[in-house]
Amino acid sequence: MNVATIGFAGGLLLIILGIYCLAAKSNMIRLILGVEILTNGAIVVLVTFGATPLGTLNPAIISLAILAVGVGGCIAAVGLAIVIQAYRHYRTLDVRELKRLRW
Amino acid sequence: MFTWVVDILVLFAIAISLAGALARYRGNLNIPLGIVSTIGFGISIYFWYMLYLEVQAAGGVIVLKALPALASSCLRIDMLSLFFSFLFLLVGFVASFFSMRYMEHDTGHPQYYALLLSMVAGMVGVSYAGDFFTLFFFWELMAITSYVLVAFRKHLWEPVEAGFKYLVMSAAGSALMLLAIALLYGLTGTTDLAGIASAIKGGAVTPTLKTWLYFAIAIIVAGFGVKASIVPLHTWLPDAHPAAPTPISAMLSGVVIKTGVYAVMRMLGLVVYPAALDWTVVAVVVAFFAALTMTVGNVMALLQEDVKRLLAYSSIAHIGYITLGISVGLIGGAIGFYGFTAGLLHTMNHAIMKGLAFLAVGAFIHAAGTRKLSELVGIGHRMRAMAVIFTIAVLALSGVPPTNGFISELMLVLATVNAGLYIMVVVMLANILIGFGYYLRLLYIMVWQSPRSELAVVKGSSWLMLIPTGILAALCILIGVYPAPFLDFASQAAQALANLSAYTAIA
Repeated sequence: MNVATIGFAGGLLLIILGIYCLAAKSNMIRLILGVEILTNGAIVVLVTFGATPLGTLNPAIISLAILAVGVGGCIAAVGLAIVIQAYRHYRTLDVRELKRLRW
Repeated sequence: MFTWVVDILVLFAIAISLAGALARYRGNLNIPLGIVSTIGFGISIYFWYMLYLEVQAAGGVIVLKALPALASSCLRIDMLSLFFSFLFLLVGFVASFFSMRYMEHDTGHPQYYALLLSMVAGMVGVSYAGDFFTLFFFWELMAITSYVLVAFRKHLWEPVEAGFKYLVMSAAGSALMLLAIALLYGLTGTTDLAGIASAIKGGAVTPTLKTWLYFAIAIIVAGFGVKASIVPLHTWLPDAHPAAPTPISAMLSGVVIKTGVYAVMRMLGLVVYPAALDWTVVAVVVAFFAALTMTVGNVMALLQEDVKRLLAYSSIAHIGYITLGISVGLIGGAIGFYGFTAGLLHTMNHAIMKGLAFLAVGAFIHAAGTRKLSELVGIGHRMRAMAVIFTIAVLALSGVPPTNGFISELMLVLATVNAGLYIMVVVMLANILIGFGYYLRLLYIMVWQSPRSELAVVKGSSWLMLIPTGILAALCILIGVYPAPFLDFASQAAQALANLSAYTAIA
């Protein structure tokens, strides 16, 4: 089993974990974490493919991966800001309590 | 750097946020900032026209190196990009104009206009992107600004809740998109859009890898489909679109979901056309989702009591019509070309008429202070000029002859007949009839019935609201009466989508 297979499998595992987290958890911060895990899984797959052909890293892929890491940070920042506002309205982090809009 | 069209929008966004931060005046900056932002959109539309002439002179496609330091990043602008970017700029211009009056009671105007300009810059950038780096960058610029704009009125519970739901679903869609980019890179070895098409055409995908290609197509359509709100992925839309301030609702329903449509069209065109996959399978799958999308949208719209929520569900239904155009387009040849043209013309018409409907309803909501249909009974009698504009918008949405909605819905039905998808013809016609039901109900309640006594205080609408909505209403009628130049524009865009060899010719 070579490095590429391990990287690809690990990335897919992270993606499955992220989807599970989004589907099963009801804490808002955990949902944001689920999104981050999902994004990181996709980045791992991306870097794995970028590294394999000749054993060197493709700069196009590395720049895309770094951009994706930054974007993940932005999404977390905006998401947590919204979570803070939601907490001020509802005094809870449980999305099942936020059911005025029928989740 | 990224063509003057995008640069102007970004520069104005920076200027507005700086002005907001540095201004000593602490009062309401809505009108001056609104004027600056609207001028920014105007200048950007002028540069769009310059770019249009340039692309025409170059024979249909131009390639620009956006970031010289990063060799892989480029912009690739063809008629399809120009078609979509024109819609984004037009609706952005109108929404910014309308905000000058609508947002007067809110706070945080510098942030609002800066975010609006950045969101349009992101959408235009998505339509110009020539590789996945640029595409992803602008896609996330559009997405993150739209999360903030949905939750803009953070002192109310509804925008915050809708914004959180939108963020989680849309960010998960973006992550899937990144996975699809990774898979496509793994299959073809490049992130350049034209390079991917050439590599697939050149046989980079061996038959053993074809399963992975189908998987990549499914994921990429799911990722972009969250933004386009194709049905199993639509649940954020009816919450997020009504919760946003109305000019932003018009942007989201009119054009942000069209960015998803653009991306789905471009990806299917780049990947499915050259790969010589089995056409009928892909077309039938897309047609199935189109039928699902339009039916769910229309049936749910029938049940709504909130006027903005009703319009949001109607957007889902119209995305279904456009998706039907895409599915016919995937058949290829002359039939497919007609299907793409019909789908693109409906994209343009829906952007104009749904933007108009949201803005007109926004004027009513601004005056009456409520979104419930039962409390807006007969408001048209109090605001007659806006009622005329609202009637034009609703008639266009329902597809009544002298308006633009009729032309494109007729073309879509004809395209489906041409393609021989007779079941889809029946589904489409049934959906248009269901649509009539709730559009006429909307008109009957808001314009026809005699007004409630509580609405006696409502005065007519201001010029700052009538001018932008008037522009869109005039376009609705103009496209309905004299569709030739707009049809020509749409067919040029469809040509650019179908003619891949021109797109991939220039390195």
